[in-house]
Amino acid sequence: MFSYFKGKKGLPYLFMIPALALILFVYFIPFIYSLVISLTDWNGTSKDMNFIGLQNFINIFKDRSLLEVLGNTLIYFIEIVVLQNIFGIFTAVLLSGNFKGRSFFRATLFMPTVVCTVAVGFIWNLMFRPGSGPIPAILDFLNVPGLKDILWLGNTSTAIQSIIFVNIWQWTGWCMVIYIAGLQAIDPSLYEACDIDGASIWNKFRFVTLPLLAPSITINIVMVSIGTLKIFDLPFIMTKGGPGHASESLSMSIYTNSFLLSKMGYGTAISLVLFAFILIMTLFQTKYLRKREDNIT
Amino acid sequence: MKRVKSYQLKPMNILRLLVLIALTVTTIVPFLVLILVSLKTQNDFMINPLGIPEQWNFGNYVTVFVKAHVGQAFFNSVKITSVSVVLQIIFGSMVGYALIKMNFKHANKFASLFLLPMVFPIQTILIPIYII
Repeated sequence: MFSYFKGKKGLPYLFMIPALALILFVYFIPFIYSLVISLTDWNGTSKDMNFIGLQNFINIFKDRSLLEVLGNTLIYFIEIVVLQNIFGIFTAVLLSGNFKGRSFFRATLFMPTVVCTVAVGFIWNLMFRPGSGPIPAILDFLNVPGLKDILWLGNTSTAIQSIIFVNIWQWTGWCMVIYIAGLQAIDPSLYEACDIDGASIWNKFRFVTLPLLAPSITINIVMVSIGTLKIFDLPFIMTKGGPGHASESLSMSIYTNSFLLSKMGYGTAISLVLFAFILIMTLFQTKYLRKREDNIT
Repeated sequence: MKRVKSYQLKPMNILRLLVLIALTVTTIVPFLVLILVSLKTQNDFMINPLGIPEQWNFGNYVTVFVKAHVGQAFFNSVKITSVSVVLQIIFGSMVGYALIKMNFKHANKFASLFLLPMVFPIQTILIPIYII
């Protein structure tokens, strides 16, 4: 058998076999098994699994709270992807000049990324709480009439925004690092040419920086989207779904349905819907962003 | 010889620095709060949640290590992380080399294949992995 691999043609396959075997057993086979589970009414622990066909999927679209959760997930997705990338580009550009404290600032702004998300959720829970948190205390001190006495994590409208704020706080550093790498790939002579032509800062940014950052933007948007649609730790730790289902994400409802309500088949069906959602969105994004990249370069 | 432009004290740069300092403060304050709170006893926290603790009480840290078995948990995390990092580096570099350096026809399809697991929400495969 190894004689087949000896010639040049078979060598790449040989190199890929360990990784392929791994993802086959850890991802693809369990995935097929979960496809099967989603068509049953298994409750997670009992022995019998009755085949009920597509009933789980039909129930998903009839479930009111699940539709609200879907809306929440979309809110998370759109706000976090847009705002995190804007802040990432902003901080990367801020830190692009050559000044003394630059590495210190880069390291500090990147620091929240390496802290465990559970810890971050816990810290910010502490900070938002009216009794013990600095944020209500500061707002109280400043005595702004509209912002006093808001229960940040207990209010249906502000809970989700607080969680989004914390998520951006944690992960902007990651986007920033990728954009810094992208910025350093831009040829400085282009900026000098702009200076000769007398371009303003905004024009320089819009016509030189932004187009040439296209590969970094692609990477960032795709990775942040995939991560955000699956968001679980932060809402779970900070509000456990918020008042009612106000800040619950789709991953959280998978967890609740599968483990807490013992509806494993239903939960698996939800997770397959989420998977399909992420897959379709990723395909569209890569197509659109790649085309944009090719048009620019 | 190229003359390196030194950093000038223009108003734009001062503004930049101020914004950066504001961002850094926002980033560091939660950690400071965490450290201060961890050094307080329960009573101290009730009375004076935001201030500096009167006595620096390291008893909390002792409780964590003794009662909550953080040592064991930490060791578990280290085990999991080290094994997965080593395996990822080995397998990943093998696959990366195979896909890029050895020109073969279906490289792109295999690349997409390897990126597919990233898209899965982990709950989809969690229970089946446990069963298998």
